[in-house]
Amino acid sequence: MPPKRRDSVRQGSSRHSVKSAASDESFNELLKPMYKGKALTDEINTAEDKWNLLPAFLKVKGLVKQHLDSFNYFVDVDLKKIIKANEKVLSDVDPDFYLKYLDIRVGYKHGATEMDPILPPHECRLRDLTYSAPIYVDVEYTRGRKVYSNKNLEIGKMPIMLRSNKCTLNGASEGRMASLDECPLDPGGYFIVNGTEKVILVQEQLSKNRIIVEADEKKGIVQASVTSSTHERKSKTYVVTKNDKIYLKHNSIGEEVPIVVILKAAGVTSDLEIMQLVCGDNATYQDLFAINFEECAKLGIYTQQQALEYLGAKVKTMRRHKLTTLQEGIEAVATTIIAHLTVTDLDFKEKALYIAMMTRRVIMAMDNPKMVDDRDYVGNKRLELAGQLMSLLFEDLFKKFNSDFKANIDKILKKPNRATEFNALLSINVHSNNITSGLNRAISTGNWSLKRFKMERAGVTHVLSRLSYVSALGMMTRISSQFEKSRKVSGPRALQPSQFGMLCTSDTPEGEACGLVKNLALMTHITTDDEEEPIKKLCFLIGVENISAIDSSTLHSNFGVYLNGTLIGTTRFPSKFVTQFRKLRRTGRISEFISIYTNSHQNAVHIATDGGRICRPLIIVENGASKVKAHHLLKLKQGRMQFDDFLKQGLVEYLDVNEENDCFIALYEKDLSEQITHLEIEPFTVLGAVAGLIPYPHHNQSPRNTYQCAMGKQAIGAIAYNQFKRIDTLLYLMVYPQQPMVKTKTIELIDYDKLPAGQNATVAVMSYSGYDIEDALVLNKASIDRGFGRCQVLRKNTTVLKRYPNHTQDIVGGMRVNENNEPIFQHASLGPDGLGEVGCRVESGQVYINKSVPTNAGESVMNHSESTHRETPVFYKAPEPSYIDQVMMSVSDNEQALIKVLLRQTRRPELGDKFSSRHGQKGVCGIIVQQEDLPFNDDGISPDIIMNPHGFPSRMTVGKMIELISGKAGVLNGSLEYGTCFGGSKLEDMSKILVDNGFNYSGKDMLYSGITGECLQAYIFFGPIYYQKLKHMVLDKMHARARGPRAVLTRQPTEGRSRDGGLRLGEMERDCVIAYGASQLLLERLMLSSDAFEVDICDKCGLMGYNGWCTSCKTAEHVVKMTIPYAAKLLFQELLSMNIAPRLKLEDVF
Amino acid sequence: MSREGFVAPQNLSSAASGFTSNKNNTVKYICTSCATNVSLGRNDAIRCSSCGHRVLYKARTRRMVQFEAR
Amino acid sequence: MSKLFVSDDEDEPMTNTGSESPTFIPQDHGEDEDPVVSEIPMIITSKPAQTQLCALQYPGRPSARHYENESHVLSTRLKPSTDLLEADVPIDTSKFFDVNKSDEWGGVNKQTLSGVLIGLEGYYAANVQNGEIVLCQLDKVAQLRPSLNYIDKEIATARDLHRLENNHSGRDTVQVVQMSVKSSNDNAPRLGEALMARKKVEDESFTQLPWVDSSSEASLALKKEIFQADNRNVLRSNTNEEDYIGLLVKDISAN
Repeated sequence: MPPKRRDSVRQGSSRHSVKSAASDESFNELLKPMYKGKALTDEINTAEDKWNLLPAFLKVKGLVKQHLDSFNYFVDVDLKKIIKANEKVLSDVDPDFYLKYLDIRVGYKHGATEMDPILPPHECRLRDLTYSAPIYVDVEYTRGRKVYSNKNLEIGKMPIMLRSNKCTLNGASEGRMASLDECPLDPGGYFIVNGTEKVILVQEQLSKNRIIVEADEKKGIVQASVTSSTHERKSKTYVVTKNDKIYLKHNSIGEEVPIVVILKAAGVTSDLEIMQLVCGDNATYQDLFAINFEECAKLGIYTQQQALEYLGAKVKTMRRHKLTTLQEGIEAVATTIIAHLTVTDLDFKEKALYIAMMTRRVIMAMDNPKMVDDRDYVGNKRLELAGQLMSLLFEDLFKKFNSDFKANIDKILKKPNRATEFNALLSINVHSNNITSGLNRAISTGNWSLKRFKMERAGVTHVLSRLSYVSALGMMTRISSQFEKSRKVSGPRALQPSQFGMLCTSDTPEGEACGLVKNLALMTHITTDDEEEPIKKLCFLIGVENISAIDSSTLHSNFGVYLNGTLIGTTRFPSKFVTQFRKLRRTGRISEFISIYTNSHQNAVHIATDGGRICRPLIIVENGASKVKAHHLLKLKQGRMQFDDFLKQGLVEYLDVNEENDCFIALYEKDLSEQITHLEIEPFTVLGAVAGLIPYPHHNQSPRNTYQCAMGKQAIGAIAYNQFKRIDTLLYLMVYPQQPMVKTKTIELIDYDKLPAGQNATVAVMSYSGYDIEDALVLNKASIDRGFGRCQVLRKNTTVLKRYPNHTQDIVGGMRVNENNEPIFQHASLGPDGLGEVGCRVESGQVYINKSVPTNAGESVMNHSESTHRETPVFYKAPEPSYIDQVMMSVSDNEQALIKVLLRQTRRPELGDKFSSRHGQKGVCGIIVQQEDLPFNDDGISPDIIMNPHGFPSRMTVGKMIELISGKAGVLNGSLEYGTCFGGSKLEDMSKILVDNGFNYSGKDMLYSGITGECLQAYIFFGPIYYQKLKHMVLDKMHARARGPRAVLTRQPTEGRSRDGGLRLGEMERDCVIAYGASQLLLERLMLSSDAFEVDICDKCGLMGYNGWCTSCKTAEHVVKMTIPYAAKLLFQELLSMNIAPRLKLEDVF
Repeated sequence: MSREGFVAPQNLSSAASGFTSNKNNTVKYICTSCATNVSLGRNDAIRCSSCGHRVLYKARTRRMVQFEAR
Repeated sequence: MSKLFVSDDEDEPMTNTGSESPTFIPQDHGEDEDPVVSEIPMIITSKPAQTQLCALQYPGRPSARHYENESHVLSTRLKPSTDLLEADVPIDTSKFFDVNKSDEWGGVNKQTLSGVLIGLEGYYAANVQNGEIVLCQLDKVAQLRPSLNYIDKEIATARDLHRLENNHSGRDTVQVVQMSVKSSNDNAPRLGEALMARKKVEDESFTQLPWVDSSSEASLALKKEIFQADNRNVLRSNTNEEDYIGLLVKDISAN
């Protein structure tokens, strides 16, 4: 009986699935007697079993949950808030008329508990429709003298995110999903717009409404406070230093204003008080600040009134009513412009304090340059999700809808004689298309251009990449940064220590976007907004002294309490306050996502309730002992406790990046001591979902893990359970996918073992044949014959049979026959309906959709001419033949027939196809060798792949070697081994298994040569490694051109493989040829082979002529024939057209 | 036509073995939801006759397709 | 709990913020050797009807020097609905006083302190008497700071003079004026909140409030009346311990 290992899985026993939503079909597996090799009565060791919190967490707040929760919040809460803010539509013409919106719902009518049935998502994909639900509004309006209310008025259609709570798939069982042709493992979280799957990526931005101090050595010190309110504006306020004097700078103020003037304008008239607010008791700060008082005194400003007037004079407004009491009024409003957020009525105290705080930070930075803020610190960043962007978009569209509607009403009401009383409802439906098409267009193009907020963002949405299951999942966890890719600053691209546990440390693309595009780690959550008011009241209850009752002199001797960046009070006992606040949070009195931390440099306690912070759960440790005990885990296993129960009982809490600074976190239970405050749930959650594919990543050099993260998304494998029902533009499927022998816990959590993307190949690491240099691989022909690495490539072609306004339409016609009554070659695969026969082979040059277009399509309706049709068939152009897999006929939403043809090619691995293991070791197939010639071991096993050993020393991917040993042990033992990060099957155990089965402990075998039959003189490292086939296949890339088409404008060869183009001799290649001094070669490559052109040039005037005649000199003498590139002749003619004379001076050739 | 594969001769009266359908087993399209065979001519609306579903797949060809065992 | 960055001060009974029950420190069941040293009863009274109890702070003035005796408050004014409070205090003209400047501004010999009354919750006025603490809730708090009205007045008068001169000089020309009527709906400026509040304040007028010095008989009597602690009902909570825990647990297990 093989020794019982806790981590191994008995074959055939329960598999754990995380993805099934409310239906606990798979979660019930946990309740079966044997789970993960442990019976219910087995002893629970907290150290090893606390990782069970992970699947519980992922069930509640999985990888894609951020998108879903944000969209749910938008549809349930935000829509109602938007409606509330834009409730009434009034008319200028008729003062009695109004229309008020009462309620808004998506997808279900008033009083209905169930949603209206909508088309299932797969049908929307096939028919190129948008997966949307109608938006119903309840309105109240006047007609004549009476007030009517109407319910369930449809004002548009809202695209629905898949798996959100308005989606038909929400909470559906696996059976129901199968009946809707939808894969249960599909992550969801994307939209289907016009048949394409679009994802709104998570955007990363600098946090708003926070004071950020930056220092510039060469100039002065700049401090910026970025503020935006939810409605309207966004502006930056700077407190800058010039020659050691401090000024305030803002867009709406013409020039910089000395800071003391602003503070006086905000109500702090006394100089003593200004000094106390800004500097406190600190003598160095006072010395630094004193000079600013002179600035103010020079201007003769002593009272608040004078300061306000001075400020008003500087303000440049674009207000329509300049009549507001000249100076004074304007600057009072100016005080509203600076540092928004707090808009006060008569008391500017909060604003004055805020400005004083900014000034104090500047002084602190002037004194100690280390006090600047780091822009790249993850705690200063906020992540914006799909729901927020959709709500901005919807608000803009709704406002436009309202203003169009109002204009329409006014136009109708202006007419003096109306037959009937005006019914507002009729005209509402006219504009409903605006909202629908606006939403669709924004999501499908990715351009968010909102006039309201002056936002012009492009590239917000991306097409969900369906190269493999992992690529779709990886895209859902992707975070794109706001920095442009061309900036050379290295700060944002560097790896931050604060990323630990929040953002995956290995998963980032190589090249341009390196470090700017990041991915979420496994156990993370992005917070949503929380109300501030209750927290404010709570702080005052716990003992924070209100800022309005505090005097300025003692302000800085206590700790200030900041709520979302604004000072609300002070406290003398900061650690007690923080402890009490945390206790309240742990008992569930306040939301678990509110964070509190102490910053001793600034003497501040910060409380954050805003949304977009990234946080992760950790186990709470008290008095050196973890609060999660064995009985809790037992209840979790029995299903009596969920993850939320752990939160409510104060065993686990969420920490965001800033609060992590206040904690002392232990990694393992053995590290617990008195000062420890928290314990990590599992260290392997440092990595994200895509990096979790790598076995033993902790033994690899870290760039190799990063390469694998990029390549894992290009691997060919199974896409989804419904992959044969999907019709995508390009789909790669592997014929025989296998799950990896050495897997990780992450693989089980994301269900990669159900949709794997590779095969376990038997690999021998040796030099063989010399065709394996520079990472090339030697493949076994017999393995390929048996299906190793075989993949299918499916391509889609769409045709729409258009209807024209003159009632003609495109048709698909039959086939033409030649004299023997056989169809001609091009129509060989067509059926009687003009479409290719399903299952038939199509070769290059054959037609598979025989479409005909009417010749009189452009004519008007009146001419009833006979419509003859002109054939515009769709040809198949590719070197290799394909088979027609499916032909789908359907109708799009405007009643036009839609035909989609799916073409399939099965491809064997050939020379040039790219393979890689899971450790960043990629290689191209170098040669395919017969099995007879390959070495074999005592059992007769010959390798599928031979890998060159030179790939190991510089790359240092020791994880691959351990994977081989673990895989070999697993094969001999009949078990799947684990290669989890910071854990996994131990090497000694694996070696023991090998020894027990008669193999060498180090994985080396003695092989016999296949060619000569003698033993090879060295022991060969031989075992199974999981290899992936990548999507770069030589058939898609091979290209040659001798002569071919030329571009029309420049008469040079075309570009690109699809247009049969030529290869470019670029600037750098030109430099190399120059370095050789091969000038005639340059001439040949750049002119003779490309666009040589004979021109007649007149020697006298230097311009071009024709036929031996110069038009400007009007004579035929002096005309010389020359060969110049056509592009040059084009340049000369273009310059001539702009009235510039490019005259050529001719000399004799040597 | 020989391309369509073997077709039983049609006019073998009572000696014919079992049923030979007269229609030459024409199946044009298959509905995705109810899997009924739908025959559509040109210019017909694209709809399933029994369930009204709008997505139809073309049925597999009767011709013989030869594959290489490679 | 671990010590964070700043070392705690020892607990003092807080006198300016109060609540109806002792602060929220959980009991350590393990420590039985923490004997109760003394018990201080806390009594909450209600103020007499129709009086507002407000606390006035003078941020610009050190706490040792009160506004009394020579510098006692001369007069106080209040704008009732906008809550603007002003108080006049005499200036000591004997030292640190520039007579020339004061003449420039029209003879200044008193300072006007002004501030806005803000409503605050949870602040109490407390009196320690007979070993007990008697608390009375405050309605509002105001911070009174000196406002330099005289400078503003001087600037305003100078500007008016200037405008009058200009008007006189430009009287000679005759202008032809064309009358037109425009509806006033759109053109009336909508003032923002801050401006609106300002306008309200300016439109309202002061009501005089008599100032009673803190050492006078009347104020001592008022103080005695407020802090009389006759009614001594001990507060009993309506929920007993079991129910309270039941509420807590229900909260946890409900979701």
